[in-house]
Amino acid sequence: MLLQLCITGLVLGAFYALIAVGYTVIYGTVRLLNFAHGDMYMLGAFVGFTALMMVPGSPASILPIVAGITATVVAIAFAGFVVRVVLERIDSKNDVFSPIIAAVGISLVFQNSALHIWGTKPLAFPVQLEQDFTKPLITLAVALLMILAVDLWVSRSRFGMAMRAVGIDHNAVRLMGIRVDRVLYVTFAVFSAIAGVTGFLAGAYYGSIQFSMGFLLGLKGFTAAVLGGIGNVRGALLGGFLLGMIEAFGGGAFGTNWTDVIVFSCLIFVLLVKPTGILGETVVERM
Amino acid sequence: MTKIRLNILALSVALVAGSVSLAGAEPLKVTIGMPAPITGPSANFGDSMVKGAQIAIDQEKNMQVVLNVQDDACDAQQGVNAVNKLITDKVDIVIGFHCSGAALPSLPLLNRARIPVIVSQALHPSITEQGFPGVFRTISTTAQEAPAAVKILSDQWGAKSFALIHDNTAVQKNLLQQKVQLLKDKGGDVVYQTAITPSTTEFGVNVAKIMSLNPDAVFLVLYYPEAAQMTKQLIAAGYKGKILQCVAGVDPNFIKIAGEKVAEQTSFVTQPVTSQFAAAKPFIEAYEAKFNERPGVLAAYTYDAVNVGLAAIHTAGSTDFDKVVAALKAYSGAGVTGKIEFDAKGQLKTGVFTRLVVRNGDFVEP
Repeated sequence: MLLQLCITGLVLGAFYALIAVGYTVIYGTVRLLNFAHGDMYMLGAFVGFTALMMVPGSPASILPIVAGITATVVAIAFAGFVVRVVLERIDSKNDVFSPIIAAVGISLVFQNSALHIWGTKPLAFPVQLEQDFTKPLITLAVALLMILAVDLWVSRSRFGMAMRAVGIDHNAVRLMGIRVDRVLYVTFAVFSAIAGVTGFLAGAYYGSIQFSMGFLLGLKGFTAAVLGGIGNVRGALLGGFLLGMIEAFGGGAFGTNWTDVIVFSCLIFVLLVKPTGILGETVVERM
Repeated sequence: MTKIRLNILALSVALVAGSVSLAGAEPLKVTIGMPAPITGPSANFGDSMVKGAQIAIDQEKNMQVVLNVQDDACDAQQGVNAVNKLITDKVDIVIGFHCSGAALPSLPLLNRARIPVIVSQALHPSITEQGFPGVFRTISTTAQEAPAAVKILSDQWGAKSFALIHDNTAVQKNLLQQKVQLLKDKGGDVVYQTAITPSTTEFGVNVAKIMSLNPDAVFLVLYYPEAAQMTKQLIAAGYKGKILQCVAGVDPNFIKIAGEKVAEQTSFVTQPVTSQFAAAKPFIEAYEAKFNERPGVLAAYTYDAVNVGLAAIHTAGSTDFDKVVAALKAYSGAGVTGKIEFDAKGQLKTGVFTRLVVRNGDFVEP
């Protein structure tokens, strides 16, 4: 039972961490909570589904899978770019709440559009991972590789440096000759695509997708980001796995009907004790 | 010129035909209000309800019938909104409801508005236990289902220890409580009992618990999306005991999500489904001819409910509440789902349940 709970916690943690990374980096650069981020996960699953069904031949062979993942990356990166374009227009009005509310609105637009396009019934995902011990291993490996790549990209690359700099001071960065808007477009596109690929992975892992699948997962991904310390990639990783473990062992000990109570109580507790999250740093107010 | 003449001729024929029909007795106009889940996870049930009703309306010769469908989304709040709209639209009778959660808060409003109701698919016992004079139901209740499930679990399978999982919806919770009691009465031991969050897909925690306690049988009182996922994960983890699903698991999508191999390893306790009724053959044929698809598993119950409602209005000769209710109380007839008669509370007198399994992608008797 302990092993099974550990596996469940790790798999849940992997999905939460992948969503949390997007929340955290987007917050780190724009200082904006993009509540439409969970829907990128849902859209990724559905775009992948559609692509898999459209490519001729058995969906469970290499060509359709590559085509499915490519279509997911391209489509969801574009969706992320569009979200940024919309939020940018609202952002410029210099109001803290408008972009957050707009992001919630975009989330509902995505969710309800998916409902009308793909219907309300859960759809069986055409590609499914084998039902054996490799299933959680593959999922964990993919998640860890993606997060490691993100961490290296953000901390080591020139673009990552630009992203971090934008997070500290837009104006100073602009004066250094860096195109802030371009940095933000790329940030939204890349991290939305990561959420999209996570949705594809979830489809292959669980074997079914539904229009509402991004809502609760998005909320938990956000919780993981806050738990780990929002704005910090390693914090998102830690927060994701911590949340997964809390959910698995909490549900095991008290019953799954108490899972959400336990998870969100932990969030409140962490915020009371350490408002910046476990690995979070105090945010310096921008001038 | 010829064209104009032809048009004038056609117009005259139409006018004559119109005056002839006006000269005869005006057919009674009836508006049926149908609260059904058009959106949400149970939308496919709603879709087949509406289509089942449409077949009954197409076959009605004596009255002019209009169907007014409102989306209750299987939700209490939306159900009340849907019913308020039907009351405002002044429908003559309400036939429908797939979910008890939507039906229960709506019935007092319909009672106050003095509109007769025939519940065709919602199963919570309280629906006909509240003493509303105008509420009838043409399907068996979960109270009638619980003994059938316990019979399968305890008597047929000889299981002594059980895990019961539900999703906290009104009907499932009620069903579960009754079953726990009945299983205990039979000397059974309920070793694990919990609820899950609807619309989630990860049940590793429940699977871990079940595997460690290893009960003889697992009873999943869940709707098909979660039921299929949980069954798939249980079997993948190597669970060897029996798995029983309730009626909410009976849906072709269960097989799609779980996969045929997994679906064939579980059983379903349910009212007989549309395809099992020999008398439903003409209905199924009419449905397939009109909609080019197979009717939903419970569509025949709504088809029967509409026929009973229209027959009662026809007998009453009007849509007056008291007359229609009196006609429904006295109703006795053969529907495609069996004999339809109501007890003093408006509940279908005879409840029939059966065990189904999946073979070749279809729900069949074992």
